[in-house]
Amino acid sequence: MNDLDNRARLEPLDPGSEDPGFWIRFHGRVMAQARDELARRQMAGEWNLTEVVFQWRKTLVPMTLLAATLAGIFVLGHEEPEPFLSPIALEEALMEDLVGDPIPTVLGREAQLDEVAFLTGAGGF
Amino acid sequence: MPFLCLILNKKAHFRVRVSALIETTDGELVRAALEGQTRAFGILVSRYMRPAYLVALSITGNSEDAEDVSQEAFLVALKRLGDCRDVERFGGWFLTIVRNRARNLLRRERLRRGEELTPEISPGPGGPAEDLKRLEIREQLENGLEGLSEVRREVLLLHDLEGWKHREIAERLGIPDGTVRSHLHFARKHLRDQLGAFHGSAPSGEES
Repeated sequence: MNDLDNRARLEPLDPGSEDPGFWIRFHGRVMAQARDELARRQMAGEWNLTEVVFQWRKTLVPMTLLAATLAGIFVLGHEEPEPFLSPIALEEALMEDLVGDPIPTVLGREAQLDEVAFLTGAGGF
Repeated sequence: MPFLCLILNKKAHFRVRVSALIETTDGELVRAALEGQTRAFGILVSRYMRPAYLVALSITGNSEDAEDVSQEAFLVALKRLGDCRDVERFGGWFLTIVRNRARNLLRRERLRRGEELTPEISPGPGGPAEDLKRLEIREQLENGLEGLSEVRREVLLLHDLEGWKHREIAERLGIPDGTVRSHLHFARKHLRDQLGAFHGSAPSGEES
């Protein structure tokens, strides 16, 4: 018995031997039922930016929060201290950067009170 | 002239399609099907629909259940395609799904869908008497196969009816080549004896 005989003997078990359209219908039925799943796979292969972010949300959200926290700590840690402002008397403010003694000092000296002494003491010349 | 070019183009296109059907490996088709390519999955279905049916038939023992099981197995395989680790060995992986589903079906109560693909036994040229004879032969074959183990039925059907080579069966069933030959030998002998008994002839001797 050769292969052809063996095949011929079993052929009645092949539904296509009695019904030539059987396998075409079989194929069509499977493909129709697979349509949704194939479409889903196609969609999954065409990700846009939103979908990428959505897919990575489990990683992205904690990382973003962590980065924001670290940035906040960094900025606050390096803040310049405010300059110390002490109250200054009006007289001190007016006399700041002036060379020579103040006028009352000059006037208080026991030196002769003449124009030359006054002007010299006040730093006029 | 343009008409001739059109014909030649069509022929070339047809050759490309046929060669794609034959030459594309299972692995390439599986990878494309994973991306949702309908055509690739369609080729896989064409390639494995008969083997799937025969494997299911060898377990369930009747054509209606074999149809249901093999169709469902394709859909299950598509959904779980990502689980197929070695895509080049898709055939073996897929037939395991078919086998498991067929066994589950035997355990459960038989599930039936409303619409079935039962072969329409169209009236043949020989008339009702001829149709009855064909039906009788099919029943004899199914009864004859019942006496075989599951794996021998699979080997017999895949080799003799589907035309798979020993090596292909060995790869896809995960058994050694020599075991396939042995199973085939005993399955053929058993079936010959059974059919001989139906027809009232003496059992055949050892196969040469």
